[in-house]
Amino acid sequence: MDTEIKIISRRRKKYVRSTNRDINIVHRNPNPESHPFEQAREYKRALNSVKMDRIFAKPFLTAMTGHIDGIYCLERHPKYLSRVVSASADGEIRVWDLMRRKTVANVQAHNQFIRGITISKPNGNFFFSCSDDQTIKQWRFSDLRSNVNSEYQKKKKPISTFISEETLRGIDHHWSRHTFVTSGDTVQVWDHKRSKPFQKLTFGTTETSSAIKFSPVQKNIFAAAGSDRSVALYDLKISTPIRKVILKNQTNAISWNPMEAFNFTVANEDHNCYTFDMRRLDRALCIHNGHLNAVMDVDYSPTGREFITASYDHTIRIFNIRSISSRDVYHTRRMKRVFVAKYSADSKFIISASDDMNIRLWKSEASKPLLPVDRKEKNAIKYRESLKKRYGYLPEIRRISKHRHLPRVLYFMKQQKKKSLQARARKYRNMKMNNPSSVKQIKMRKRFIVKQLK
Amino acid sequence: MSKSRIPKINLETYELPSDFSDSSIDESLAFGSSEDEEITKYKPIKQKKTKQKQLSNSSNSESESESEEESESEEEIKKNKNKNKKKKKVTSQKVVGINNFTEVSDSDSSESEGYENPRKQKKRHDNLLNIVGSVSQKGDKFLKDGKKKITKRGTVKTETSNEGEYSAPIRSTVSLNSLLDSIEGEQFGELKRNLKRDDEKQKGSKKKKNNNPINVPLSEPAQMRITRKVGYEQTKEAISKWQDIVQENRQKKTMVYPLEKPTSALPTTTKLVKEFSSRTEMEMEIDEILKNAKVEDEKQTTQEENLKLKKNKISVEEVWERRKELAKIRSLMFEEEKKARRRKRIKSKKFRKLLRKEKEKSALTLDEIAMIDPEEARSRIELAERKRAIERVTLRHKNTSKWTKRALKRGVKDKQTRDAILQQLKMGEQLLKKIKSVNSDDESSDYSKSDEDDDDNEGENKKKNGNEKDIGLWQKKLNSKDKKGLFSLKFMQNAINKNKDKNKDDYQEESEDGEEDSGEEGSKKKENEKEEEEEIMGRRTFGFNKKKPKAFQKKNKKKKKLLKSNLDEEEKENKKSDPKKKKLNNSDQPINIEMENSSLFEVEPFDKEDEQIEEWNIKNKKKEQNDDKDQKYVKGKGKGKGKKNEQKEKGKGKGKKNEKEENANENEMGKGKGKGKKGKKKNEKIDQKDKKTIKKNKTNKKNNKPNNKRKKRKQIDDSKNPWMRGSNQKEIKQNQKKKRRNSTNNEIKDMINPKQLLNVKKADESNLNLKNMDKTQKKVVQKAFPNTIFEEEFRKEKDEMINDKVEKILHEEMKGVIGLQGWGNWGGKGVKVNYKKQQRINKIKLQKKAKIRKTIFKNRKDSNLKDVILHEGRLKEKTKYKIGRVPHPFTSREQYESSIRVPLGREWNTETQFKELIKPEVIVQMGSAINPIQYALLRKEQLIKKKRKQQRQRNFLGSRNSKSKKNNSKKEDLGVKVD
Repeated sequence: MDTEIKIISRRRKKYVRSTNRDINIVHRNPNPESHPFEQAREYKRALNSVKMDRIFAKPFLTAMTGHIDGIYCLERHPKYLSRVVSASADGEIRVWDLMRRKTVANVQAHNQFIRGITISKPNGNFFFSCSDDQTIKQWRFSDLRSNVNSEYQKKKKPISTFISEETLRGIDHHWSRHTFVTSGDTVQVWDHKRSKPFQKLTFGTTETSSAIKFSPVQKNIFAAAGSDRSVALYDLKISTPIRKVILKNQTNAISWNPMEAFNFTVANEDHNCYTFDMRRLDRALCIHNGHLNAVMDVDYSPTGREFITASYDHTIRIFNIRSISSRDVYHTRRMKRVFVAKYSADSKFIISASDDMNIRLWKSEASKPLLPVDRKEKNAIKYRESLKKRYGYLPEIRRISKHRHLPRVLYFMKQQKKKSLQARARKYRNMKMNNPSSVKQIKMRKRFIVKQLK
Repeated sequence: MSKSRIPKINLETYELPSDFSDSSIDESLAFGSSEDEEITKYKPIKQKKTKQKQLSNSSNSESESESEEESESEEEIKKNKNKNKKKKKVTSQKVVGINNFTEVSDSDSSESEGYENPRKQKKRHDNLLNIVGSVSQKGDKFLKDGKKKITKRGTVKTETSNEGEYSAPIRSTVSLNSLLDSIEGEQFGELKRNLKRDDEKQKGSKKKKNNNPINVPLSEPAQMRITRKVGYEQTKEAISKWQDIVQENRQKKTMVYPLEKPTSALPTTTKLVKEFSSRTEMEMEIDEILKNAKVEDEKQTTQEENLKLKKNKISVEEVWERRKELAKIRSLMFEEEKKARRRKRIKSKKFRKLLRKEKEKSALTLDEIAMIDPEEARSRIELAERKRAIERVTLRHKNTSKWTKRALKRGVKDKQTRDAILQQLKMGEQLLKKIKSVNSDDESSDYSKSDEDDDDNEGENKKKNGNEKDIGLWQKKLNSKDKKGLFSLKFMQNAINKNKDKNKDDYQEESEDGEEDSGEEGSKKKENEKEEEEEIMGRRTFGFNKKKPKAFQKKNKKKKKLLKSNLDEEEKENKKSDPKKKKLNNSDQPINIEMENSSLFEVEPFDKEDEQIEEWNIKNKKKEQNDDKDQKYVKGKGKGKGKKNEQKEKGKGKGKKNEKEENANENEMGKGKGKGKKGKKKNEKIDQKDKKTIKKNKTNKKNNKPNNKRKKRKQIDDSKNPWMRGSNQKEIKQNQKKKRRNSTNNEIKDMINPKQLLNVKKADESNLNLKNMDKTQKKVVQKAFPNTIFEEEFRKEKDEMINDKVEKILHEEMKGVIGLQGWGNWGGKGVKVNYKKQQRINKIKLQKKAKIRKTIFKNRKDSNLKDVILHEGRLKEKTKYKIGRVPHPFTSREQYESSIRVPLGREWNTETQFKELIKPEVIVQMGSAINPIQYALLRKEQLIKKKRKQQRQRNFLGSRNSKSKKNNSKKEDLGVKVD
């Protein structure tokens, strides 16, 4: 008896192109009759891919330890993807390498709370730190290497120190010039090579401002958030403040859209973020809600399509610039109040710093594979994405894609907040019904604005 | 101050002095040069502002008024003119007093700008006193004259003020009037008068023009407010240039980040060196080392190296020595190479063998390897095990391979081949031993026993035994592993059982065949008939058309009997119509019972293994008949016959040659096809023919083999056909056997009759009585004929649905007739039932039911549609496929639906379409930092695009022109040639 072993074999010629330029041989039956129920099938595929997404959603990459106090400042390098500088409350500054996930350099920069850090912009050779001790120090990255024993290393001294006459609460560097601004009692404009600020800008009244941010696109404009619940816009060309909006609650952070020059988003104490058009400050473009405590930081993705918020409620949220609710929520059990969150320069990662002394690295898209994928796999992913987008409006898919787990405490907080908001809405409704004259009808997008100062 | 000072300040045409210097401009210079263009835009404002600043710093109130006017002028642009006028009227009154005063102080301050001498101070003081005096003289008049005169007086005042050597205003210019004043005497009276007239004319015109007086400066906050406002407007305007770009980018289907395209030109090495800064750990370390070694400077290092080289001087002898050494090495290498090449060319097997052995000797044993590298050893063991496994699976050690077969046929003369075959066999034994030792010995299967029996019987059995052994072993294995591993799973066990059953069936068939064969030998009519019957009973064969339908009928009847359907009527009919069939039917009955074992409607996946088993069944058919086991399966087929067969079979098996066998087979074939007299005649003819062809066949055997194979394949194809599978499989099997024996091809062509196949189909379909089938059968039938069942079910479902509704409504309606249940009646034991009432109620019920049914049918849209159920209400399960409202970017339902209509997948689109459809919104290139959008970059891109377009156009035009030119030239050429 002849026994045969049958091997699954196929002719290479049939499946493999002879040259790169050849058409890909596709073995399929183009007859539409053999592929019925296209919508039903694609719907099912979309549903499956949404489920798969949820299954594979593992955004947390790593936590980097090293600081021995809460971290309140974090800045990413404009050029190098893996370089990040962080500063903690005890005055220590650390330079991190995200790829190796460890500290590259560290220095005890100040003796007091470091309020702000900024990296010099076009090339990113220096960074500046400002502290409660009313000094600004300029550091060179190459001087701070921790692993090389040299004279430079031993010194670990700043290149220059600027002494301010006023308190300092924030700092930001111009995107192309040797200029930086600090916030405090007044907004001061500094040059790298001048020991004194060459401009002091106020809005007339004395108010301290905290967060301050240059626009990366229209580079002469910057915005500062004041302690008088204001958001003020300044123009360096005219060297005056140009407009000020006072909101109902204080603003903690500001971020400009790097792709849409006139839009910026503001992280507010009232758990919300507001996106403004610089040209129309009487109303917000969009209100982003979802956080359950004050929003401490906001940062735009370099693509300008999304931004990330860090909150006092121990979570990070990712928002689409035009959507009210967040796309995703990140949290871990050990992460406490998050004070800073930044996108990486390639928009693929998120770096967060919290007062639990850790810096955490996240994926910006929770279920995307990190490693390079095969061409076919890439196409499959793209197909799934487009299916999700297409059928994302259908209730089942929407429900699954939107569902996020929240920690128990937050979950109940959310319920509570929902209730209180409902109660407020009910009261408003009742008032409107019973005593219409007592109720002023203001649009939602204007409600949180107190007034605009010209 | 001179009177001409004021009219000189013309706001519209005001310009800064050429040597004007401003600190704030210096600051702006600090920004660098790249945004100079933008700065120039703002220059006018800035200058104004800076001027303001400067003036306000010096406590010059006059300049304040200027700045006020400036701001006023700015306001004019923004505010209504009417309002402005009113304001000015109000403010002008206030200005008067101040204005006078300021003029005085102006001259004052102008001097104060100089150095402060005590002498000068005194002079200044005197001057001031003078002026105050003049003011007090004319003060009353001012008050009386009112507005219009104020300015006049002002000018007058300046004229009258003492123009001493001290009071001469520094910045005032000399006017004609002041010169005229100094002229005295009546000679120039007329001239003076004329001049005055002219002057007054001028003044009058100026009054109209510059009527509004200089206003009070605004407070600083107010000023700031205005600048802020203007600044905001300006920035708004400036930033609005992004509007279109942002819009465009938002609407783009896909955005690729980073926006700036990578420059195609690679950076030069010098540039790289210039820009290089050590970043990674290693780079930094190297940098550090270099720094420490002080070899940073390239020039220096090269110099040092050169120096060192100079020190390293080599003598001529040394060089010679070195050269010799090298030559020696080279020659040795060459020799070695030569040797190796020669060795490689040697073809002697002996040499190779020796080499190999040497190698083996020198090679390490497994233990040694394990000592050195346990992993390697493990992998080797694994390899060996794998080899063994392959050996076991492929059964290469059996004498079944083509090679061994051929070798055996030729007669093994060569010692090597014999050795090889022996080795194979040995290996096989070893393997078997191993398997046996692995499996528990107490499990002695039937197979092994039968094997032993067979061994006694005949030498030829060996082969078969081997196979059987193998199968047995496998099965044993399976059995032994029943309780664990893969085989413990239910489906695996099912599969094993199925296999067993199949084997049994095959055995049965074989035995049947054997009987048939023996039957032919007798070649008696009766026996032939019986054979026919048997054939009809057991399976169908291909043959002449005439008898086939009958056979089918009978077969169908058998089925029906088996299924306990109402067969009797048909039987009766048959009896009436054909007396022959009577007998047949009678003879059917006992056989029916035995047939119950095998399912009638088998649809089993065609299996290669089955075929193989079948094959060897066929081969060893006659021998099997001797086995008791096989007899069991054949039990029902008449004992006498069986015995006869046995005897004959034995006799044949012992010594008869192929010729007779073949003959017999031929007969069998004939019998299989043709029945009755005609068939017999034909058979005889065929016999004769065959006898003639036997010799030919023998010679043609080789040629026929492939043909047979082809046939086999054909049958396989048939058996793959679901229609053929169940009913025809047995026939196929039989045919296979026959074909094997029969070396001629021609008859087989006759055997397959398409018409007959069609008949089979019909018969099968007509026989679909689902109710009487088993569950498994039902499933099978469902698979084969889905429509018939589903239609029935569907109708039922529809009916039930309607009935449910009817019942519901009826229940409601009957409430009115009967009233509440349990009320109005006596209940409990012994209560007589009012049948009349019951009847009445039932009657009403029926009537109502019919009525309701009618109305429902009337109302339902699908009442006329047989194959449709229309749900008219809202279906809850379907809500998950519905969206409450039109989603955001879409404006209408139609739009949304159309956006979904075209499927995205590969199945429905071409590859290029598919790729276009699934393009993501955002593409970010791996590992690149995305910079903020830059206007300059965009502009550049636009320009490049424009240029390209232009170039393309130019090229296009150029090519056209050149073409036409060429054509022309060609024509010309032709023309020349023709000429």
